[in-house]
Amino acid sequence: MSLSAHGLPEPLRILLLVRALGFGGAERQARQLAQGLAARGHRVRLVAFYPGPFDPELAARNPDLVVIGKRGRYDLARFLGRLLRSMAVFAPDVVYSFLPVPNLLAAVFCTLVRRRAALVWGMRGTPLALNRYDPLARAAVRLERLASRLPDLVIANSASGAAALRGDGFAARPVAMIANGIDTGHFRPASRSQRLAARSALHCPGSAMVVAMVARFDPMKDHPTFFQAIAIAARTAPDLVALIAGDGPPAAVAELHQMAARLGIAGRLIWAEARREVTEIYAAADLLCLPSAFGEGFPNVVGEAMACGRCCVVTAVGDSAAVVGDTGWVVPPRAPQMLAAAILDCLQAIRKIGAVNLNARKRIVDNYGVEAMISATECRLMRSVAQRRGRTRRGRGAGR
Amino acid sequence: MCGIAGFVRLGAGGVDFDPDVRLRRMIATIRHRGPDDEGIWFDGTCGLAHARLSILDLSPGGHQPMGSADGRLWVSYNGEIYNYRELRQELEQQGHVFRSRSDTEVLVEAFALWGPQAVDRLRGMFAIALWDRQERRLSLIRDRFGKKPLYWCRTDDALVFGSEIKAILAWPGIDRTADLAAIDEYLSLQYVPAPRTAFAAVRKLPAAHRLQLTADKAAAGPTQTVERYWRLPPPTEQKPPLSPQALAGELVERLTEAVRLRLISDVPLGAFLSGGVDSSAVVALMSRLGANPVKTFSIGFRNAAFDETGYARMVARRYDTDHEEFIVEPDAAAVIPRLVWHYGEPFADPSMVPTWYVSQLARQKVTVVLSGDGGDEAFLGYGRYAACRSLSRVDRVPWAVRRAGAAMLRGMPSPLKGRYERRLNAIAGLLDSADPRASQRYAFTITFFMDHQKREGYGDAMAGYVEGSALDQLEAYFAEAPNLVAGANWADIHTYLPDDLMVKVDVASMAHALETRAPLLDHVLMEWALSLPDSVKMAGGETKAIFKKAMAPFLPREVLYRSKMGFGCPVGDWLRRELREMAYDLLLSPTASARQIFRRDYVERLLREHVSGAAQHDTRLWALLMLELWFRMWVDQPADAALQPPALAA
Repeated sequence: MSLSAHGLPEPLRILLLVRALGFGGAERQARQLAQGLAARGHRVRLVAFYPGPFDPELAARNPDLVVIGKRGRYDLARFLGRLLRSMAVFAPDVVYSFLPVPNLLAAVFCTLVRRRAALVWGMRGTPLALNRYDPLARAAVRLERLASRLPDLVIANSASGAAALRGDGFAARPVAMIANGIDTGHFRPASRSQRLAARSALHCPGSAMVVAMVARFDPMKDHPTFFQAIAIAARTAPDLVALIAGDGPPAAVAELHQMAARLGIAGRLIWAEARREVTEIYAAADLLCLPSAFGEGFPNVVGEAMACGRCCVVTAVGDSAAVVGDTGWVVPPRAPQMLAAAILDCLQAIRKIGAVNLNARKRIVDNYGVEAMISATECRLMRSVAQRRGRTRRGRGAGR
Repeated sequence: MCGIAGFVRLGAGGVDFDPDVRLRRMIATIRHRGPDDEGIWFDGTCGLAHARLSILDLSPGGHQPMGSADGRLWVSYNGEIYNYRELRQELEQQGHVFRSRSDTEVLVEAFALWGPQAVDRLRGMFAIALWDRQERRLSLIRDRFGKKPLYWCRTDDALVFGSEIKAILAWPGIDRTADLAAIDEYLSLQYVPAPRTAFAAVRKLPAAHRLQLTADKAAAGPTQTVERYWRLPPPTEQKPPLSPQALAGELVERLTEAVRLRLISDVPLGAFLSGGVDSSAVVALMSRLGANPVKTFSIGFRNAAFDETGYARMVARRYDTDHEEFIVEPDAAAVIPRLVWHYGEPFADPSMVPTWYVSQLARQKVTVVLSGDGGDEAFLGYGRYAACRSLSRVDRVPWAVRRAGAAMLRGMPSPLKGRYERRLNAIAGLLDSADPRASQRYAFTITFFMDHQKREGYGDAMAGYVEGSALDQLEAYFAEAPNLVAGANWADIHTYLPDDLMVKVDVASMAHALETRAPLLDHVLMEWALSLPDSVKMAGGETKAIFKKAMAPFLPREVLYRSKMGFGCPVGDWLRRELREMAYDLLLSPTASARQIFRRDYVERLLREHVSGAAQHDTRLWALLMLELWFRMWVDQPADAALQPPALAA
């Protein structure tokens, strides 16, 4: 018997399973976890179905990255063989998977191949309508729901997501909430020269009050309400400029341009191209607005902007209000008048005290840092491994 | 016995990188562990620092960091290798010529000859930092029961380590963010279990583990592994072939050998004598081995419920020891800040206070003491093991009857329960515990804040820890044991022993530059003890039955067969009197409330109920007090201010 199999193993052998290391929130979390847990001495293997843009960066810091190289949706048999073999060879104490398809495959592995390994599912848990997915993805979500008795633990990344999971047929196993980690070393207040450079690069007038909205062009983010609020607020604040950063279907972009023209604010909007590095946006902005109408879980952009010392105006959807706390403004969703009033109120405060909100940054550093996310996850993984071992033993009829 | 610190650089470092300054700064924070000498060493990649408390070979020959004869290995080590003479002989037979009489030289040459497996030959306590210049590999190794501490932290460009966390925090830019998962565990257990510390960025190397870091090998970057190098035999139910009488005889022989090994010293040596069975047994065997008159040290309290000095005196008289007693009347304002600074993590075992004072007392006369630590784990001495045994039987009683009994006990007015209140409440908890998880049933005997109390009182910051239980991680230990008693013992040996008891004694004694040695934690003796089933060790439901039987010829019956007290401490009384104002001021302050660990109204209720005598929340309030003081000292202050020790007590 391996000595590491003694009691609660230290370090743990942790297998993280994702589709690919892309730009998504769950994938970013997996990347941060792989690095953070490895730095804490655990043996970590990150298995991805597809190659991703962050593979080289991660491989440089954590050599145990395995990309299975799925050749498409229908490359199943060979892919499954390679995947399960790679997982089995690693002999994990715990498998932590992210999103429906990886969750289902992790369940297969922990049920059929390595029963000793604890199974932890990472789920977003936001109540999105299933009809937004294609048929295969819908099937995966339904299967995931059916298999939700299998994991030892489900981790949601927001309180609202956890609540939704508990009430959505996923209550079979404990649901823990671990908020996404914000890299407060990367997202930090910009210096004056960085701010000026960012404004110049984004063609923002130096004297303007800049309200940024960083969100994909999706109905849940509710750009129309934001545009209406900007139109209202601009009547009182003539120096107001809105900085729009995001990506989405061309049709949605065209529709938003038309709407801006109709509202007479086209000249006030600056459209930043979809860019990977958003720190420049936060540096150029005076405040960040996230006017989500529904479906919000943990709002990464709010956390990032706060870490950069930006004031935030958000709607009471998902965890936005909880993240902002008493350092920003919270209004009901789909209420342009109230959103405009909050933006003006916030701008007034910024004119008085300056654009850097250190309380907002402190709130993120204290409560939503990457270290906090890694600690909480490590703690949950350890407890799940211990419980799985206890259950396995009880299942074999060990005496008490 | 000493303090160690150091680092391995994993990047180029800045132009202002001055290894000497860094090492001196790190070791200065733990100089109290070794006031006799200081040394640093740096080879361009690895830096080692050492603060020495001279015990063996008082000459400069024992100076550390020390290199092997061929210059390949360099070591900075804290501890004692009790079998170093035997190892030295073996090495001499292999042709090695020693330059000094120190055990450090034996240690480094043992690793040079036998490689990493040399650790299997070491009998003693140790925290070792060993740098292999050829392989460019750092090994951090901690002894089998965690007697000597070792912490580490990985930064972007270095691995930093030290005997205490403060040595690591002396490294520039270490993140001092509190780890809320660790705080959650602390609030249940009174200590933070390994591998976590209360700082998210800093780790404890668990007992019996080895960390190896190979720096900049090829392009792949540094590689790091942590692994267990030794394990105890798992608990068994199999009875040994010998009779109890024969086993008792063997126990005396084995313990005598363990004590004899620990009498090696070039400086004055004594013993802690609490008046309990374990320390009394150690004193008895020390006396029989000719270490007469043994210098013994005891601590007492005005509160008779916690005072054991009478029993200690009984043993001292029997063995004619040179006995010293001290009645603790704590000056809270002076001692508590020093405790918080020295422990460096939230730590709430109330017996830290008497251990602190007895160490202070002993250091006035000796440099080394033997203690009875580990006897309760080796031979099932805690009352909670008897409770677990009873619980296994209670499980057979119908659920309705159990609940009625629990309700009756809970309903008794507090004055009626008197000094047994805590025990009666624990029994009530045991009776109506319906949770099938062993850890949850065991929880009733050890936890400060129960899960339901956390659910009731946790603030926003701890919302993520309301679900699940800090005790869940103990399930892995119960899973390896044949019954609840053995499981509780197995969990204690791997968590409570290294992370509470060993920390408590190491920090309190080393704060006074006093070395403690625990013969009952000799690993050979422990391996033998673990081979005995609980039916032998707790025969007839009597805790430590076999140990008491073995010691019957040496100790008064009154000492052997009395209620267990240990180095307890009347914090409940203090919180109603001496510490009352401090507790109210600190725990209800806006600063404390803003942390959102517990809600203010919940803490206020605990204080009100405890002070009025309506309920007993002594351990919970003590834990909250120590936590708040830790936050203020170690998280809220700038690092430079935090690293300054509080002014010495009068």
